[in-house]
Amino acid sequence: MAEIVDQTFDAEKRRPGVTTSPEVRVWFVREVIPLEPSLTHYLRRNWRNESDIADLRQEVYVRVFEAARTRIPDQVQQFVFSTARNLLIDRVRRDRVVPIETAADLDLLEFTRDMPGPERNAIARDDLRRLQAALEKLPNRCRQAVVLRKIDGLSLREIAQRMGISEKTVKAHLNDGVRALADMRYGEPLAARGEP
Amino acid sequence: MSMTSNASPAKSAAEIDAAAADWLTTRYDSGAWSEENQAALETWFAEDIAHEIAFLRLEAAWERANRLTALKFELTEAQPKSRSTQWKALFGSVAALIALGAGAFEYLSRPHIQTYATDIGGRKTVTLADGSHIELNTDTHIRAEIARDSATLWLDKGEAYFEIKHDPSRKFVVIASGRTITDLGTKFRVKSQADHVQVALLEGRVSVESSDAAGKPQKAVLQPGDVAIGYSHSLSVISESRKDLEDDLSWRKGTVVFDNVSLADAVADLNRYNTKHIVIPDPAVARRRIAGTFRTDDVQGFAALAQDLLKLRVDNRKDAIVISR
Repeated sequence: MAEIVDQTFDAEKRRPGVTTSPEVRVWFVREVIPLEPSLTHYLRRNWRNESDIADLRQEVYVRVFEAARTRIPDQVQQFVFSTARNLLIDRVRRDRVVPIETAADLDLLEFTRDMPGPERNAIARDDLRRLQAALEKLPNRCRQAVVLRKIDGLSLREIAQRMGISEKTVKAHLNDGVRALADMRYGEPLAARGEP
Repeated sequence: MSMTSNASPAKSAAEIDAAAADWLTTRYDSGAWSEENQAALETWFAEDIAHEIAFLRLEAAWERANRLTALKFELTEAQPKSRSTQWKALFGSVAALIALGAGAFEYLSRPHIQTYATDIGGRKTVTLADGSHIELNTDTHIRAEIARDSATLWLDKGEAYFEIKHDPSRKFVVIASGRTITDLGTKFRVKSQADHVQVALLEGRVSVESSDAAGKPQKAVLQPGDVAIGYSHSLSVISESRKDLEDDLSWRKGTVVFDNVSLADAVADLNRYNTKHIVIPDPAVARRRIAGTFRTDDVQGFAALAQDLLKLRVDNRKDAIVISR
């Protein structure tokens, strides 16, 4: 079993109202978010219920973020994946309904093979093609709004005029676009895509 | 639902994402973000860490989508034709010259799109956080989106001189009438006119990207002394002497230098700086040539010289100065 970084979480440690330092924010965006494809892969592999994945990922992020506010961990990957592991174990213990696969080998939740290697710092590489693919998957009007905003630098009002729709609708399209781009960027494990 | 922790309110990741996206698109709309908005956002963050995390995650993806400029051509192709002019619609194709690295960013900075503008006759110097300078000439409008790993500027109209501190970790891109000028470390001037764009390079290196009539990308990497001139379907590069390059920048000192140019060209240039225009109705007169240095606001002086030197008649009307035989 890979070593588990010692970490304890309890409800009292979540302190609403504490503001985050810029260092933590930058660290989180630079170091943690790029691990998302691998993290998602790990969670899927070890949790039966697909509809729980986004919430599990959110909870992992909350725990990692919370810990980083006190001290930024040195070993990011190790920390993120052991946090995910501990979360899954907590869930299994707490929930009445135990996912069958998970219960079968609770001690064997192996995360090292999901961790990206040194050369794979997840997303940075084939970004442009990936981004393009993500964009193409957006619904037409949504894509158009994103393009006008991102590439032409138009404001909501200008996009509304250009597309002949209300600003509110433009905003709704952009909101959808933002989320879809993030999910498509981070959602899929690189390994599943036949990356070298 | 079983997934939410005991300590957090029972909100799903999807609900939080939806709210975060709404904050984000508000924040990134040009000019709409105020101190009050920022305070409200911070309050929302303070309610639950998951809020802040969702926002950071979406913002990182959104920032990274900046490199979409590189797909400009394919995207405009894929879309229904917009009603804008052909010139505008042709927004050049753009190569993938974009910074890599996770999208960390100036998180607490104010609105992400800043606007800089001058009136007719105005001039302004803007210094960016990294020490780069931008000087705006008369009647110029620039929007700037500055992120940690990229800076994108739209020259909507007018002319500007850029002195950019080159930073390999941050791409500096100027978009003018669909031409994309990528700074590779440098001093350059960009002028956007009704039917063409001029990019003049004084020092360093820039690449200019555009597309031809068939939509095929065209790219030119300029050396110092090069001036790229892009019309709707063409991009050509000529060389100019150091003196010509500098003459073209004399507006930075409030003057214009004409070296044996037609009256028509001289007047067109001078008129950019003044609300009271010089008008030359007679094409034969407009073809006469002139040389000299003038203050940008001194239309009277220019007219007086034309009168004395070229023996022309100057009629100083209320709304315009008319030069004729």
